[in-house]
Amino acid sequence: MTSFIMWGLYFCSLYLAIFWLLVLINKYLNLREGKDGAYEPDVSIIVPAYNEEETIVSCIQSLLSLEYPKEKLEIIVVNDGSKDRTLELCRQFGERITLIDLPKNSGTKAVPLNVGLRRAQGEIVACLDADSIVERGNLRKMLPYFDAPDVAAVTPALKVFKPETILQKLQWYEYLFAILLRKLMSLIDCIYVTPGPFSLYRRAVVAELGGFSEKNITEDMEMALRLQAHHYRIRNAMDAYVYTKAPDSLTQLYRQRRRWYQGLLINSSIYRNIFFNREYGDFSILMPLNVLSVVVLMASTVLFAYYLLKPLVKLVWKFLLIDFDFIGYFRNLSWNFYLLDFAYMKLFVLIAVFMFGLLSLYLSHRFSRERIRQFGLRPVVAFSLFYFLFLGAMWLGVFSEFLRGVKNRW
Amino acid sequence: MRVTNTKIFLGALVLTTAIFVMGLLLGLVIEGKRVDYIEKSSQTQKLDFESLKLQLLYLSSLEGVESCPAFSVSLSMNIRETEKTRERLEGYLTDGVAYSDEFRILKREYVISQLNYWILARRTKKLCNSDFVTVLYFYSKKCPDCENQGFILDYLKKLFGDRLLIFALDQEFAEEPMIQVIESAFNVSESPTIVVEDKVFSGFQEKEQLLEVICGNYADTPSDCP
Repeated sequence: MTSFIMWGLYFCSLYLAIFWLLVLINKYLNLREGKDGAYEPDVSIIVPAYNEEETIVSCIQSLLSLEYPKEKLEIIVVNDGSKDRTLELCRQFGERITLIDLPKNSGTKAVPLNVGLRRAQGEIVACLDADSIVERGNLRKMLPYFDAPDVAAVTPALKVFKPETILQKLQWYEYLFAILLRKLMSLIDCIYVTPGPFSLYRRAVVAELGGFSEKNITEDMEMALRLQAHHYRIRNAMDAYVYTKAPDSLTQLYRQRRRWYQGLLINSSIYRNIFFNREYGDFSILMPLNVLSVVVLMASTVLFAYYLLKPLVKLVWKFLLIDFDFIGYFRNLSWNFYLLDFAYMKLFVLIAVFMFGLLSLYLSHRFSRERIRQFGLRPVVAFSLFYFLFLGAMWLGVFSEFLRGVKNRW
Repeated sequence: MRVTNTKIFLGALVLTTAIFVMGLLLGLVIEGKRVDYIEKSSQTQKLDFESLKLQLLYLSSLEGVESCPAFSVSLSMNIRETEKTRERLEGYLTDGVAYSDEFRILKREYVISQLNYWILARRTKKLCNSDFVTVLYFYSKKCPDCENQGFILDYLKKLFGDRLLIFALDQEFAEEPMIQVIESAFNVSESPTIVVEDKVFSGFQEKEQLLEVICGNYADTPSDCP
């Protein structure tokens, strides 16, 4: 039984890997990247801020130094009832920014975003989380992607801001993977998140769709799905880097993932009519594939733990039966080893999966123009071997909480 | 209507299946090689056994027992080799996809040679006054305690080396009637069951219990005995 599940998992993960590789070969190689256009509209950037005294200044400074005509750039900072010095720090920028002060915290990010949206004048609006920093050339790199009226949003490439702890370094690699994956998704018009840090939108479209959903815990994902549901296109500017601060403790990371993953579950169920609906083309198959990847991830984590722990428990129990007489057991150890003993079929498929892993590691670094051994060999090895299990474990935690939460509500 | 890249979705399916089929074919080739390998070892082991039988026949026609030590050494060496290949064969049989029938025939050959060695060992013991203990171990794949029982016997084998000869018999292997003949001779009904020399122990046996019984059968008690 378990071996059938295992083969199923191998098959699914191999399928997903090959699928994305084919997307890359089929689309990217025929595509001329590096857009340059003279599109220079008015741009409004909305920065919702709640207790961000540590990062707000560098965030606003990075926006002020964007390479873009000052008269065409409007920066709207919405202070969402911060209890720290955020407001005071924002005031020092004076006339260079538009400051909106909400007296009470509104609980979700969507509320300050919508407040900013109503105030915004630009044809294009950008959102930027206060814990993120943009590169100077980003607007110039991203705006040319609005080359058709049905392009409603352009996403950037997110990187971890100055990773210091091992946890942040591991996330660094994860973000690079996400850069690759988001590019691949954009090639078949399947992006389902327009991340909080520096996604650009056509203001008219967002306004027409009613702004950000104020009840949703991942309003950025909901917005992307709503755009998709209305057949708008979301593009990706892979060379527009935005640096965002990654959680540095496990609790914080888990809290962040709980929001993301629950958001994915909730929004997938809100937009379930897209699933296998031919009207949506590739996206109608891709959404179920995303769900499948999550299931594969969780199942492989469980199975891996099972295959690792079960023999371990058995072994300890066996040695208990011989009173842990290791000396006696290993004294006459005979070496019974033969090349034919390997399970070659398993090995073959495992090697195939492993090769695709290496390939995607290489591609994700190439696409984001980083060196693989940026932080030495150890973090990247730890990432390749364990990070997906770690993600799987977090997913299992979030998923079980989600199920229990649903029960409580009923 | 948006575009569906059916070609990509199907192409990925075809490629994935192709990789799996390649893996399957590789597995089959390897399994064929395994059959060849076990067959070859089986032939060699049969010849070795014939030779031992001949040696014993010759020894028993002589008056003295001067050649006995040399004979005992080659006997236990052959038993060890047979056991190694048998264990490997069990593994191949579990993994087996296409050649299960071949493996079962080979397994039968190995059961026969095990029992041949068991009888030969008992005769050698009488003829040469050798100081070793023979153990028959009846197990089945379904029995929950058998894995641990096997581990304990394995451990004892490691303690006593060639002075403990263990013959493991699969109770569910119906192809070889000799297993049932011996089972009924010793009144074996349970699994695991352990027969030390001629004494029968039904059910799971603790290490201490087995150690005591086995040690009681030695003329010259080994240092590992309590």
